[in-house]
Amino acid sequence: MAFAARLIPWKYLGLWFGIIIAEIALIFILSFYRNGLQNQIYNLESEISTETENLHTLIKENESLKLLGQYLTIREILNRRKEVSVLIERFAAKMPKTMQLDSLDIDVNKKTMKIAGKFASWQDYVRGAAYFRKDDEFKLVDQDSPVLKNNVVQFTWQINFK
Amino acid sequence: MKINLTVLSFVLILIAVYLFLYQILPLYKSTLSLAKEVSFKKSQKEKIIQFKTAIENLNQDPIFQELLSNKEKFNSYLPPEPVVEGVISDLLSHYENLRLSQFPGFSYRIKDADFSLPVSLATKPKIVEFNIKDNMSYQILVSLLKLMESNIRLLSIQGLKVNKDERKQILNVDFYFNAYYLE
Repeated sequence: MAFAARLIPWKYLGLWFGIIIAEIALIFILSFYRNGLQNQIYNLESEISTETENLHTLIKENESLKLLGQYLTIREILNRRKEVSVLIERFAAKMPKTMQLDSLDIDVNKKTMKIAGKFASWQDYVRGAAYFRKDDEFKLVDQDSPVLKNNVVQFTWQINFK
Repeated sequence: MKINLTVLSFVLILIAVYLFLYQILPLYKSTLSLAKEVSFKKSQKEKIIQFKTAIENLNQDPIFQELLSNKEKFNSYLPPEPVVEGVISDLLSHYENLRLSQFPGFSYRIKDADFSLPVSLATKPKIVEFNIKDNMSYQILVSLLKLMESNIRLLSIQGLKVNKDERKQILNVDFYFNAYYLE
C-alpha cells in the first residue's frame, strides 16, 4: 500500500475519477454503436434473404438460363450415348464365319456384352476365342466352360467393348 | 485522511483497469467483428444484386439470343415434361416405316438422371426408361435401333437382350432405352 501510495499520489484522484467516467462513457458509446451494427446486420440479412429468393425465382424463370441448362444436358446426353446399332454392326462384321450367335445381352452402362453361340468344331472355337482375346474393341474377358452338344461346341462369353 | 485518499485512488485505478480489461476491450472486439460482418454482408448483397442484373441482361446477349431462337428445337430434343405419348408416336412411325407387325406396347418408369449439371439451379434432368419386348429379324432390329438413335427426341439404348428362336428363325428382342426431359 505504501508503495502504491508513493506511486499514485492522492492528488491524482480527480484524474482517476475522470478516467473512469470517460471509460463508462466509452462503454455507452460502444454499446450504442454495437447495437446499431447488430440492427444493420439484421436488416442486411433480411435483405439478402429477400434478394436471394428473388434471384432463385429469376434463375428459375429466366428463359436464357433454362435454354443453357437444356443445351448442356443435350450435350451431356450425346457425349454419354453409345450407338448400339453401330456396335452390333461392328461386332457382326468381326464375327468369324464359323461362329453362330444364339443370344446377345448388351449392357451399355457397364460396357459389357454376354454372348452365347455355337462353333462347328473345337478348332474353330479356339481360333475364335483367340481372336476376341486379342481384340481391342471387343475384348473377351470371361467365359463359361464350352461343351460339345449335338456335334457343335456351345459357348458363353463375356466381352467388354469400348 | 491521506491514507484513505490513497486507498480510494488505488480502488479507482483497479476499477479503471477492470472496466478497461473486462468491459471495454471485449466490447471493442465484438464491435470490430460486427463491423467486419456488416461489411461482408454488404458485399454479399452487392454481389447478389450484380448477379441479378447480369441474369436480367442475359437475354440481350447474342449467344443467348441464338439459343432462344433454337428454343423449339431444344424442346423437341429434350422437352420440359415426360411426354410419353410423343415417344409412342415416334415408335409407331418407326414400326410403320419398317413394316413391322403391331406395336406390342411397353412398360416405363421415371427416374432421376445419373448426372447433374452446373446450371442445375433452374433445371433437373430426368429419365423415362422404356422396356419393349418384341420379335423381329436381325436386319429389322438394326434398322429400328438406327431409327431410334436418330430420333428427334433424344433416345438412348441402355440394354439389349436378343435370343434366337430356332423354330421361327426370328429374334426375341427385349430392350431398354431412355428418353430424357427437364423437370
